[in-house]
Amino acid sequence: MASRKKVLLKVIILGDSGVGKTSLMNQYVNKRFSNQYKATIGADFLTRELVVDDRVVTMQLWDTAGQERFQSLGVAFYRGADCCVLVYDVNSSKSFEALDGWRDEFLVQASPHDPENFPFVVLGNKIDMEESKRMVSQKRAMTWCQAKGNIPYFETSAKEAINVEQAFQTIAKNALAQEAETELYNDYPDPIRIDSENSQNYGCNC
Amino acid sequence: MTEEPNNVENRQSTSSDTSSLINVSTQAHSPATTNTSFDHITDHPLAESVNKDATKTGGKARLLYCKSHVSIHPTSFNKDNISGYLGIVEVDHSTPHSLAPNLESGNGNDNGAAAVGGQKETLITWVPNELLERMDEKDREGYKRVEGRNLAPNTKDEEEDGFVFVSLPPPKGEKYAFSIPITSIYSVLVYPPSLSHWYGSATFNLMGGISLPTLYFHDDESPLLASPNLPNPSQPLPRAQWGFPPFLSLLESRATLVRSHLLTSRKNMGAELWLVNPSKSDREVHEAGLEEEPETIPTQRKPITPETVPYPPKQTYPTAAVLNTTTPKQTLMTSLSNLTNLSRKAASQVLSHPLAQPVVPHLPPAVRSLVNVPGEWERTGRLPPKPGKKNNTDVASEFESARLYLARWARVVAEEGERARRDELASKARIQRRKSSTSLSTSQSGSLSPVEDLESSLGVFSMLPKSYSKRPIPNPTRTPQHPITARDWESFAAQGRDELYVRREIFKRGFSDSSEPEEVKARREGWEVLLGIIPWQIGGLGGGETGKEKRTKQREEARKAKRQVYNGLKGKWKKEAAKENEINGGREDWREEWHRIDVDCRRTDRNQPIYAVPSSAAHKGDHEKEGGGANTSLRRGSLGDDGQGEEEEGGAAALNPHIAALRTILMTYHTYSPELGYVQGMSDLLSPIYVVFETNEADAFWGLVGVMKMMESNFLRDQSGMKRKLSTLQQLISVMDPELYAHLERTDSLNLFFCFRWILINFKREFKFEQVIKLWEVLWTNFYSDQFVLFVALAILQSHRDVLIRYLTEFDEVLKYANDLSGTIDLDTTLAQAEVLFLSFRTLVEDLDKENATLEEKSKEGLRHRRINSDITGSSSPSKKGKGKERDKDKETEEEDGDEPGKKGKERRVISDDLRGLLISWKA
Repeated sequence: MASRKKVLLKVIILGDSGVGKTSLMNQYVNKRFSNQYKATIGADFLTRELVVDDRVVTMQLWDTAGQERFQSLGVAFYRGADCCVLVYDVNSSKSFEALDGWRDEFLVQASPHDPENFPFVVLGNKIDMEESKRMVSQKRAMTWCQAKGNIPYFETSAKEAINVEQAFQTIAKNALAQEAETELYNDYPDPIRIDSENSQNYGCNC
Repeated sequence: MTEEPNNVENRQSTSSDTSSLINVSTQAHSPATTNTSFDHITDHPLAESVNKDATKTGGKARLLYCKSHVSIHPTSFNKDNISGYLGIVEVDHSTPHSLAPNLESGNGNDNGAAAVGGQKETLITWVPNELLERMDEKDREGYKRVEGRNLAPNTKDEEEDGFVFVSLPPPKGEKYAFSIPITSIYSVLVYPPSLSHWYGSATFNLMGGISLPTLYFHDDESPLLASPNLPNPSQPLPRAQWGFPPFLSLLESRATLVRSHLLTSRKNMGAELWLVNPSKSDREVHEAGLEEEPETIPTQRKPITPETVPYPPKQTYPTAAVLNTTTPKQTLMTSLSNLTNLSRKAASQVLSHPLAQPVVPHLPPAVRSLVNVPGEWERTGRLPPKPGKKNNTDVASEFESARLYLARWARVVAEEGERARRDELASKARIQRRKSSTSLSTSQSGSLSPVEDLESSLGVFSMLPKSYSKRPIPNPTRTPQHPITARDWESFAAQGRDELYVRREIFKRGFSDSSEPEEVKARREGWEVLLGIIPWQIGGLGGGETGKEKRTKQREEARKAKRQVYNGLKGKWKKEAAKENEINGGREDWREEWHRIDVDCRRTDRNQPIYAVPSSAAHKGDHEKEGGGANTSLRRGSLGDDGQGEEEEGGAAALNPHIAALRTILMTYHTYSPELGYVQGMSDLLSPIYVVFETNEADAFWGLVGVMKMMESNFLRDQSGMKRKLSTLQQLISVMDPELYAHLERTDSLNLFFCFRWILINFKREFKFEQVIKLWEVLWTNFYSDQFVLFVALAILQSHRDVLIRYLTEFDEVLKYANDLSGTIDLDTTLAQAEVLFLSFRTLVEDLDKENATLEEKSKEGLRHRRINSDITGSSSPSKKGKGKERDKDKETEEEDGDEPGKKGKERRVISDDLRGLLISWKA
């Protein structure tokens, strides 16, 4: 399924349990926030189509369980990832401190070709909560992101849909860049692109 | 086909009506469907011009009901709306002067009328005002009179007023006018008015998959609004006051209406799907309800687009002959295609997708017709993404891929087919049974009706993989329709039954769901036994009041003792936590654990009333969240708080006492079993236990301990337990269904991660809360196997195997498909199948052992002793095309088999220890 693989951007969302991975994903894909999400067991994914640099791409967002214990199973899901999203809760320093571990774990398990330049994006979620609850300052987070090779950083609220679109647009963009590199690496040409398939439908609506 | 006789009749008359309609449509239809939104009006098959002679083809009919200001919206422009009258009329075919409408205008065939000869036929009509203008003055009067009567129903009774006769519009007239016999209507899709949809609407879907143009109820313009009891016209009409319900209730007197559960109105903007005179199989499908929602729900009601118009593909329309022999499958396809009034857009997109092309030819006509409709993309109202535009909100459809979508579809069809088949077999059996009501052993529960018994066993029979067809099919023994009642439960003890007997009974029947205190108590006692909290023999067995009293007393004492122990455990860590809190903010590891537990408990079964958080508290909770970091203060839900009277931190929700209790139990468990600690999934296991133990914290704790004794390996840090279980399941599949195994291998799914959630928490997320309770008590009997859960997984996989094999070709698709089964699995069928699979497996092992023993004898003279391979290799060895370890193993054994001297064409199969372990069951 080479043609399929080409248009699909695989994105892994990681972070401590309860930081809002499922909520972010659902806010982005389904444009809604629910109070009914349960702790993710195993793994699941959602997909969304979007346009990046004039190309229609399908982004497949993988949501996994937040407890470290289950990460040994993650390998199967990490494989072939084009971008990794690290999520923490700005109201929990613990979840922020865990980012290092998540990042390392991912690099070990997914073993990308060029770990130094593998695209990560960091999301500080739950900024809708009172300022007084906040445990991790923007500065602290940005410092960390800089130190790790200028990882793009967004402060988001899945609940209030703040910055979610923007963050995922960046995620897609970086994933696409990565995907292009992987293509080069894999060195097999694939002329079929979904954007060319769909371009005929760009016609005017009236 | 086991339709009610009445229905059959209806369908017959219907089919010819519909077919005539269809024939005309096809003739009238011009194949070109262009992009301009106006063109399709003339293309509309129903718009076959009747010119000025509109009334000529129609006869007189009694107008039972009508409503003005019901419009068709051919375009999104208001100016194009066509207002008209929706009506219900009755035609008396027996009237001598034959006022019967010439419904057969299309083919001149009179059979349709003949079929209902001497009958009154009810028709639904819609007449545009324009057409009405051209009708007789009397007709116009009639419509107005009848509508007036509706508005003031109590003034005059219909009978007193006398009948109002009007000319019948032709079956399909200009400007979308129609009159359709009720019997040709399959369903009505209704959207009540809402904030987003000012006008409520109704769409009639005909048998054969055609939908009439959607009718919009402009109730605000109708005389209804003039009535004084509508205080605020600027508000959307309250549900009760919109135009459709009165129509519906009248329709109800003329036809059987069943509301489909396939659409839940909450999610679908209040959409209701009403089936008209549904067949039995339709009823089953729609009344059972699917957890699954239609894939996409248009966020914007479209104006009438060709989606409601039968599309060209002439060859795809069912002929009259086909309609006459409608199979359940066709009926279902029809109903599905009706459902797609919601998701048709999505379906069309999916089916037109390049990925879908290979499967399209295999689709039934009704579905195929959705493919590649010219101009459909342009009309969907989906704005084409503007290149380079940032923040693009073009939400790709929610479905994951074309195949996945089709797979789900196929699943529904398959399930329906299965149901229909079972019905058929059951009814055949019923007839046979009547002939000879002698044989057949009566099962333990004598009251069990033989038909039910047979039905379930046949259902399983049919689902068995082909490879067993040569073996005698074992019968499932479960009779969940006769659950254990409190009386039964007491009688087990009174009769001195042993625990194995009790476990078998629980396996077969489960406990009653009743909320009567005695019944609740019986289940609870049962769980105490299953979970090893209180022994079955407590207080001794034996009859009489004294025996019962003794048991009750001792049981209560045992509980008390357990509760004391629990309180001790809880008190210990609480005390320590409080002390630590004072000094340095608590033990770091405990605080982390507490936070984890807290976050999960708050999101466990939030949809269960017991765990729901009152809205006021939830609101408070919004402001009282925190992340449980190092600075967690005492003030905010510090470690060990019982959560009473406090608003709390964590996840997203506030606390209620029951959630707080779950939290405390899990924390206590953490200290009780520190090497395991709290692991995600435990809160899922605890929550039903807590409910069954009547929210007693201490008892539920011991319940958890009991469950964890059985399931501990699932939660080990290195995941070795889960890996082993999944590996065992993999081997089981390879033995029981090599074809499926090969497919999973091809799709890179052999790791069976898509079963991970199923196994980890015993299907907690796959069934509804109440069903989970029923499932668990069956699993926990360990009656056949202490890993019966794997047979349940196998049963589910097997019932979806065809869909899996045919449609799903990637690991992610399989995973998504499996995840989405949640809420759609029928528990009792699955358990029956699991039992049959287990029994088949056991037979298979026995057979193999015998076979191998013989081979062993023979090869003893041979040179070498065969190495026992720890891995199973089936004779029908799974795909050799695969890569990696599996293949190597296969090869290895094959080669070995190859030079096995005493083989003589008979391949030797070895059962691995893991598989053999599946035969281990509960022992006294």
